[in-house]
Amino acid sequence: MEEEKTASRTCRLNNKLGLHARPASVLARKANEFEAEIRIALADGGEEVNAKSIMEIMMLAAECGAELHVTAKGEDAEEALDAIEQHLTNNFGEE
Amino acid sequence: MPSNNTSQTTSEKNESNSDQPTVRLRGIGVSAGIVMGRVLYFGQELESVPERELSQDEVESEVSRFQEALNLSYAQLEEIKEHVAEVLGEKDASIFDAHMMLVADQVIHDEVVSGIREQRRNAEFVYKDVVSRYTEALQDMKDSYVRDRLTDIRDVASRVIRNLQGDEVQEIHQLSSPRVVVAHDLSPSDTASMEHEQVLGFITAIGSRTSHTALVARSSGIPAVVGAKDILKYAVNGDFIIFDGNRGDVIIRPSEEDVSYYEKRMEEQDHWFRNIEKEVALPPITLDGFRVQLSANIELPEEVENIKKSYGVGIGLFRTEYLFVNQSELPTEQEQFEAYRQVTQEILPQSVIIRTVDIGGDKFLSHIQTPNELNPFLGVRAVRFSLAKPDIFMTQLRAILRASAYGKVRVMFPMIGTVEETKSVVAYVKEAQNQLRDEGYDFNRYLDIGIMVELPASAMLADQLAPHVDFFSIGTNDLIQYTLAADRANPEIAYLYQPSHPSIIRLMHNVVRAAYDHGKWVSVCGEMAADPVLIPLIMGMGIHELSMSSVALGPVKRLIRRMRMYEAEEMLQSVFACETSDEVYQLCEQFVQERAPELLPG
Repeated sequence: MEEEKTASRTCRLNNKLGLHARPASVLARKANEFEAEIRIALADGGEEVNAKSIMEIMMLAAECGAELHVTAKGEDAEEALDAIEQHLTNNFGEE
Repeated sequence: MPSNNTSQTTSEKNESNSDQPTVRLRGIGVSAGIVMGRVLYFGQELESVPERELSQDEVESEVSRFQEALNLSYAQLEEIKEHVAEVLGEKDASIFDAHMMLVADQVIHDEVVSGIREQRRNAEFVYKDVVSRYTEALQDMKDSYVRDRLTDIRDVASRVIRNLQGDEVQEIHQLSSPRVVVAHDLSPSDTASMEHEQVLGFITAIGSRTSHTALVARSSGIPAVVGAKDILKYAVNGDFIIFDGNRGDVIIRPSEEDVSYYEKRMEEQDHWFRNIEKEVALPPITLDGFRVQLSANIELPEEVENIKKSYGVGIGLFRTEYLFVNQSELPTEQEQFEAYRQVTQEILPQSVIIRTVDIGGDKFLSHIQTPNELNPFLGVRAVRFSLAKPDIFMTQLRAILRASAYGKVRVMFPMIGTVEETKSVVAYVKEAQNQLRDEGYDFNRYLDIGIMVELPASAMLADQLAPHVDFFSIGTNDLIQYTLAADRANPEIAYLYQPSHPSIIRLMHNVVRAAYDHGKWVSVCGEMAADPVLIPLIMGMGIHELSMSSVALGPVKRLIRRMRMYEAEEMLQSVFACETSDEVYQLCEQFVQERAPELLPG
């Protein structure tokens, strides 16, 4: 069996209000476009959550400026991380 | 602001349609009018659900029952989203995308399905248990903005549970008959999801005069009481209720005596409004030929249409807080520009005075960390906030200036206290003009710049402020509050909040003299201008421009058309000799009594 690709990186959350319902839904929707399993945690510790679940993302008490550690496991892991990073740093297309 | 001035008494009187006793509450009346009707509870509380053990062969049908409830909830939210998108636009509707995602959340789904299978319990019980684990964890977080997320989750969860229990989910935009909407609090997306014709009134458990519910209620002419603390404890769906959006009285399951008393008051009110309406088209001219400039205060652009149609006056105070408060993001220059331009164009040929944002005090932004101030009304509020956040300030000024190319716009700054602040805001306007000119935008380069006189400091200093500005607008609410050091929302000292206090009259008179000495104009835009009894006082000082909430325009005009300017000036001379606000008020009342007694409260 081929070994699954794993990738991870740390991104900075630039959304002013943190991951409240609206950005969390954008993030979860994006994560659901990928095959890979994607997990997010605060870089300075704390529980990992499933990036495909809006509920779990909302539980990350991530404030603006927080460093987030994102891990993806699966065929499209790199692409998934690119997409997630773009959303986190570009405020989910919000102003 | 304290909003817990709730008092409550219960009586044992039984009602024919209910075995529960009458309950009387008092909240803060924020939008006038008396309403009788049935309660529609609009809530996000997670109701308690029954626990039922399943037999093994019931399990899979319970799983599919759960999935059907999710599908139904999703479809309902989709429909609401479309409705809100039509009313408010896509941006405001996007919160329902998040709600739909919550319904479709795979993690929750899987947890509930395996919960049903393993615990052999009914779907609503397991679902509530799963959701509660999340809400409880959120509840433990101290940040209030994190706790805001609870509202969204509870909202969705209670919908799913109601669908599971086969309860009809009462969609507020599909009500068969108008109801009194009762809630803990209402958000912009809540009120946007309602057909206003279906809403008789609002009663909320929390809130103040400036909360979203109050704003929407006043702008749509829907009576409302906020801060009725125990309303959710006593009122349930379908209860008959009476409330007075002026005094803040709420009666749940009223007695027959209550009903007939309020029916009589409603009739009087109707009669009175019809009388006033007859005169709406007549000009505000005194018997001795002085024309008074009346204009309206607005809190939302939607109010303009009615003001234009019903009163034909301009806007003397366009509050811009609604763009900033209760929003998840700061408004962009373009969004602000479009809002200002819309009002500017719609109100033509009349003018609009746009006031830069008055945040702080009791109005806070959810997206900017505001320091916890011991005394926010003496803190970073209004123009102090703007000057402390130059990027936000410039964005607003640029938007206002760009709108000035489309009609008659003036700009006004709240809470100015010093000459330095005045010079500073004028310099910001110049800077914004330079930027826009370099970028090739149109704007009015002779835009009138005014300041609100609402601190005793600026009232005393009016002669030195006048050379720097084009006009003054006296904001009486804050002027009274700051001069007498009395918060009118605090029932213990509300008696000190006295619009007719001699100190207020002296300060205002000082402002008027200074303005006229320097050839500047002066108006009054506080609630003092909306009380017909105090109009002779204001006019006697020589103020001929009054801006007020639109409901007051009729009564105020009625008095103006029945009085003479020189009589008001004469009365002012006697007022100067008064020592107390009661003496002043009695003189004013007598003045009105002799000319338009129907304007005095019965």
